[in-house]
Amino acid sequence: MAHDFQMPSESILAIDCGSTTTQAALFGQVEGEFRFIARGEAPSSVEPPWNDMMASVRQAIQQLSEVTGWLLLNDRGQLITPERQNGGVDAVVATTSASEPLRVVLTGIMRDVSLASARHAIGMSSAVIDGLVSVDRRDSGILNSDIGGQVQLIKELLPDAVVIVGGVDGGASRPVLQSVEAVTLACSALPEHSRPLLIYAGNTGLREQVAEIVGNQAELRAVDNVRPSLEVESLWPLQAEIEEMYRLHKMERLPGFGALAAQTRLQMLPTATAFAHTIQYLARLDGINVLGVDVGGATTTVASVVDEQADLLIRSDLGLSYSAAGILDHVPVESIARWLPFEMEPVEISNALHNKAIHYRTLPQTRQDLLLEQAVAREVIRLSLAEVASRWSNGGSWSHKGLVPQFHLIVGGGGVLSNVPNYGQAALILLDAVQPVGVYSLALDKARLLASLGAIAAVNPLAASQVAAHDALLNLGTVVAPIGSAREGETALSFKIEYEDGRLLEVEVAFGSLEVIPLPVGQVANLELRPTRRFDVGLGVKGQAGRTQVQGGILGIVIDARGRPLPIAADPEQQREKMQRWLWDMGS
Amino acid sequence: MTYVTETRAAPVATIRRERLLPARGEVLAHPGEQVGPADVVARCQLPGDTKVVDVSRTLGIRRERVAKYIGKNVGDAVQAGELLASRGGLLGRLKPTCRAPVGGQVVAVQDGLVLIEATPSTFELRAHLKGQVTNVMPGVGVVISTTGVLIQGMWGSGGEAEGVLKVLVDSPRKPLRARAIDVSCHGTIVAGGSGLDDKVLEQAIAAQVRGIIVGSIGVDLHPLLKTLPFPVIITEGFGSYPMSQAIFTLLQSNAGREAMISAETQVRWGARRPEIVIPLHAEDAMVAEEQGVFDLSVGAQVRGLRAPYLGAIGKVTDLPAGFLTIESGTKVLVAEVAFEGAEPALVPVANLELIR
Repeated sequence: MAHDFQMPSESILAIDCGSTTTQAALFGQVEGEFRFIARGEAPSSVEPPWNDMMASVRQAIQQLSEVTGWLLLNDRGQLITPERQNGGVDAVVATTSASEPLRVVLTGIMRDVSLASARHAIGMSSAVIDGLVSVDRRDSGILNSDIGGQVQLIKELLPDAVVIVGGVDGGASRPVLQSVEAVTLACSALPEHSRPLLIYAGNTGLREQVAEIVGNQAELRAVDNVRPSLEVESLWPLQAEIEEMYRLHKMERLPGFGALAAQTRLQMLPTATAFAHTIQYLARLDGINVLGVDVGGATTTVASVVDEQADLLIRSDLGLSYSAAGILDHVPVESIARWLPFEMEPVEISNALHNKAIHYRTLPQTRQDLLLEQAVAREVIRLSLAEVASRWSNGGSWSHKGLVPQFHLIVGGGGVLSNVPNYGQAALILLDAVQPVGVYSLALDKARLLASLGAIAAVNPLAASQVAAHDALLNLGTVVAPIGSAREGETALSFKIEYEDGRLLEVEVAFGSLEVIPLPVGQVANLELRPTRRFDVGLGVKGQAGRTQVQGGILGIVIDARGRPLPIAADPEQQREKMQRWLWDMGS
Repeated sequence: MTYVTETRAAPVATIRRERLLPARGEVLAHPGEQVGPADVVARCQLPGDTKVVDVSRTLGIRRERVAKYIGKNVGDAVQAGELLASRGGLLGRLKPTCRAPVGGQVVAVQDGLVLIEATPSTFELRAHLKGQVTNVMPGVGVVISTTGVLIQGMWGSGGEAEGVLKVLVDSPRKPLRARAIDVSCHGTIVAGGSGLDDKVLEQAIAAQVRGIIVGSIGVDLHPLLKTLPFPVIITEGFGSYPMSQAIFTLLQSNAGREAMISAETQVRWGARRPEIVIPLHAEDAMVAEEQGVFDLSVGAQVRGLRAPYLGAIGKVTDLPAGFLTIESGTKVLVAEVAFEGAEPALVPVANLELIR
């Protein structure tokens, strides 16, 4: 071990314990500014044979010590803190996504009103809805009037919590109270240790009656009405309550949690929440629309800020390791096959995904296997975005039905994106899955720091902002994606690039093509875009020319003139050829 | 150190398994007692279905006024058809009346609703293993210990079963065929090599086998597996993969012995793998304790967990330092492994497990 490394005066160690990988990242001051120094990682050890999250935490820290030469663990394997002359760190923060989500039964009235808002709030938390009660026969759940069905549902599912919503303030009362009666009855028939927590987020005027009905049959928490009026949603109080329940009932029960929590200065955060904090910070910093997509082993997170409105979706059932086969519950195998440049039988795809789910720590060894995981990632992202899309449709940045709003920065994270052997592959996954429009920057959470920065911000906001400015993102480049349609091969737009050294480059881009023009990291260029009359480059008017200054990146400038929505060939063979060409165009 | 997971495929191991009741009950076995697979070691009562009787609606009385008409309290036993409430009081002769839809116990009475839990059923916990009761947890369950062959599977469907082990193929590469299952398989646990098809499952039902062990199955058979009256264990994964030679050899050399299989599988949050236990007489061999060390080292016997080496057994010949580029183009921590009958290959450490 080399010991010539000098540890900066203030240091922070950030641990992220995921479902498949545990990471330890070291941050410290370099020339007066906080910077990311190095990271170590290890396969997570929450499950057997270890059953102790600390085993992988120690292994990741040990790897970090080997990389930096800085001693972080003492000879008993304990973290050295605070920092001393020969090792240690000043502060430790931790995030985790390794625990089971909170299991919830949701009861409400109207499918498109209170239930829609409650689903939204629960979706912003590490929770899954196992059972549903409503008055709408279109829902696949139990009817509100079926008291026996509700009792049986709760007895069978034994949820961690029952979320009761319904009634705008001053509105409906009878169906809400009926649900409360049914839930209370179910609780009274369960042993005390199995009774779910009741979270009431319905008609505020009924709180006292609700408390009276529940009595001492269950623990009741009341939060603001999730839908106080038809026009207004109040999501965050319910989200915060569920998140708190998740922390108490799930995170804190992870094996080894206590040992890790004892080292941290602040309460451990769910990884997805911490990731969202950083995305929100990046949006606030420059006043821009930002989309962050993190595809993890068991969880997929979509964090966004559109027109200053923050949103978050945590899909605890979609990921690329434990949850790999879960995508098949939502999309046909053919939807995955369309992203492959080679032929693969549907049953082979299905077998491969189920194998990944049981051998969840494994990595793709062949190119074919790698491209299959990337294909699954596209569908996981598409499915998650579809859930969020309806919430974006009201803002001024949304102008094209069926497409995402105008984002200025799109960030991809998670192993499938950050471990790509070729950055063109990562960019193509995001372009295919998100199908963004206009002119925007594309970046990767390459060192998987965004969640850690969200946690660090609570301990040292300056450190978080300085690292975010310098080290957090790997800039892939600037993308121009015109909207419009033409025959393949017809000119979609022409553009002129003026480099810093005065060089000029003029290019015509044909509809259906994908062009990559180098512009190295750290360089800027002026871009003049002249779309043809059938195309809009994000200015809201077809044929409208515009100028913008763009930043360089690993890839440079990407012109995605394939069309929106992305045209998928009906013939599988033609689609495979297209995929091969797109990969080739992106340098893969 | 490089940590990896493991699969047990041990010719002799000390096996200790907790046998727990689903609810608190009574443990019947005693410490030191020798038990067989079918012996009942504990039992408990499992609650029956719940029925809600809306007395208020049936009698047409407002909820806040109906309590005085209900003649049953929490804890009372009721027979199916027994009077729960009547508008004229329980002794009154006026209709309408409200009767219990099932026999059972009243578990809640609230706001004109009566909740009846149907008569509970008795659950008997069998030993499943042949061995000795080494620990008794009063009201909860027992620990049974035995010495024998221990093989962990990768995935399973169905519950537990016991029976004489019958290996129906002579190579781990050969699939199980329907024609190989005949009347002699009645009551046995049958093992094949690489896989099986739906005809095998139909024939196995007809022959009343007690369980099936194969290397792999196609995911398309999932729905059918859920309907089977017996458990199925796969040792490698989904698709068409031969059974690992090490596992096949163990099964073959123990054919004719009584095997206990448990197909229960939970990948995470309380992970549990399917397993095959074949108890042996203690004097048959030296007992190897469970290992408890998961460090990958040169010379270790490993098994591939992912294509193109899924199910292949080999020995680690080198552990190169740092991250190396593999065929997919990704840089990962690798091991050099000499798989049986093949040149040494670089494999991501994440795609290997110890098999011992």
